[in-house]
Amino acid sequence: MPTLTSTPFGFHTTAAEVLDGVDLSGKRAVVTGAASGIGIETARALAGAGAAVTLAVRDSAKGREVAAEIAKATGNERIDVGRLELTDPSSIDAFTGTWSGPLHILVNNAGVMALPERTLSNGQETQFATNHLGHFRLAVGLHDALRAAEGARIVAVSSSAHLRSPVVFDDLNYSFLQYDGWAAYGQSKTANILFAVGVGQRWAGDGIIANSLMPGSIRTGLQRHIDQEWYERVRDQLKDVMPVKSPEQGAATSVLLAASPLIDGISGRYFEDVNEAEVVLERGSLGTKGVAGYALDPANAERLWDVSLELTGS
Amino acid sequence: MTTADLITTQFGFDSTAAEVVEGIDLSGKRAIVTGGSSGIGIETARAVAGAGADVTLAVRNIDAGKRTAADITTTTGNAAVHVGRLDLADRASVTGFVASWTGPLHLLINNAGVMALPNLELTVDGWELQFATNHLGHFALAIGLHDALAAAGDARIVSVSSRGHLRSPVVFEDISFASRPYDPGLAYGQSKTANVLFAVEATRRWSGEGITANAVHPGAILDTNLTRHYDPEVLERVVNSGMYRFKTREQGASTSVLVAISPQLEGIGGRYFEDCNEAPVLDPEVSDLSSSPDGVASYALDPGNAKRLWQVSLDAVAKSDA
Repeated sequence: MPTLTSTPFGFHTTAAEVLDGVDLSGKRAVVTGAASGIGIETARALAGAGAAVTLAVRDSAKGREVAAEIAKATGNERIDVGRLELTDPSSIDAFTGTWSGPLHILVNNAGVMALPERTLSNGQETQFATNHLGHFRLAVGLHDALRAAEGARIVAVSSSAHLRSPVVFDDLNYSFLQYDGWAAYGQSKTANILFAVGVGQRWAGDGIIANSLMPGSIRTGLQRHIDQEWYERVRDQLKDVMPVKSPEQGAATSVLLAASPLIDGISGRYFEDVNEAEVVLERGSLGTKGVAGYALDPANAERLWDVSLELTGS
Repeated sequence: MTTADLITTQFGFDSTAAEVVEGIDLSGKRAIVTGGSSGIGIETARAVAGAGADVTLAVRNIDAGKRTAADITTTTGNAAVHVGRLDLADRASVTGFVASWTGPLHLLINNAGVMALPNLELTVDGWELQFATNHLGHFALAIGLHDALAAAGDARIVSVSSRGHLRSPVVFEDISFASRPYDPGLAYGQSKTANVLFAVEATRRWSGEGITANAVHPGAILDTNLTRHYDPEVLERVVNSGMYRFKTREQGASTSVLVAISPQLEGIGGRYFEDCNEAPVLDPEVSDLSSSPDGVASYALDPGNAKRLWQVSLDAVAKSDA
């Protein structure tokens, strides 16, 4: 086990604090899901450090509002909006097809959580399709642009919910297993971590690194599919072990992995509270920290990459 | 595999173990039936004894085993019915049973099982108890008896699985629910998938020594101890749901006996049977799983999964014996 990467930052650190003194002029970034929640704050911090940022969003009108707001707040005019629907392969291909020039930072931030009913998108369970396969297709489509950056970084926003489920290769779609919205979310978030491991295996020679993270517990649009009464009850139980972060704090770990020199050369790891997390052997109670061994397993990462290539027809 | 390749027999849902074994002579053959003192285990042992085999009931409760042995001797006239103590969740017990066995073994019927333990229980080695009992215990037993099976020249292993295997593949990354929330049906399903995969890999490894293994779904049988961990109210709802057509114990034992003795299955292994016929691979997008359909999940027959499970099981047994 290599030493865990640690930083001077922690739970309370904000995205702006992480990037204090970092100059991203001349760099280009894409942030998915950047019109809401921590996506906005991630984009704002990168823009604040001088990067040209493209907000990849489903709702272009909302994206334009956010872009205008970020431009105003940061004085950075190079904020674009691109339409991206992660469950729609043609939308992803249109996005990557119109991209030209190098891409230095790709933040796979968009996500959907705990869908109450099992649904399929292009034949795959929707959370896996959106959170993992959509981002996989996006990254593969942008691979040449990432390589051209000569030192690109990919950030995979995962979650501690990955501790609820490995990727169940024999039944990715819950065709046999009884569907459970949290288990399916957990599976998709494990896939996000394994994807970052896979980038290390496949794209290290292209100068591309990737890491994953748990942003923390932040009130955002992500909770829109869960029972609000239940959510408030759980939140109350968790107030001591896993206090709520502000969106600015929630974006801190993402921007560390996206742009901080503190993680130069580090790839395939999982972070939370702006530091690398320890491997844990069991899930423990709600609010447990750490990363599951199965989410960092190189063989699982290879298998997921192959399956994802097949499922996306890449 | 296409439907045309499936093995079909003259028997079906209603066939009893006695009907399946009719005309078959098992004199000179030696058989072990785990869980042979209750439920379909009794009827499996009775049918095999009735055909003349020397039968050992491998059971947890020696007294119950002796009563069953006496009953089988009375009904079949076969005095060669023995009882051996075996607790599948206890590795020392498995080792002890294996050590006391001498001579060839023609039929190993892995019939014992535990279902739907309401809470997560782990063995001293940290394995979830349904997986440990239903799969790992039988795996250790078969490995231990391998030489005796090979000595028979044409041995067969019967792996009593269940339609419950449709509830879950073996989730290799988290077999013992360290991460996943525990669910009794999921854990049972995983163990029953393991039973099918065991038959696949045992056949691949051992068919050169004349040992073949097949898996069976016996059917839904109420008159057994397997349902003892169910909440009685839940069980009643299941019974009244109309989802299952129930079998008698004698009918429930017929598929086990068929794959143990049918001349049609000579040299054939790694397959899954129900209602005395080989089952087709089920397409989950076509079949309604809530209606308890016929068929076997492809993950349960997958050779890669079977190899992986074998290695995991070998490691587990080696660690526990160390």
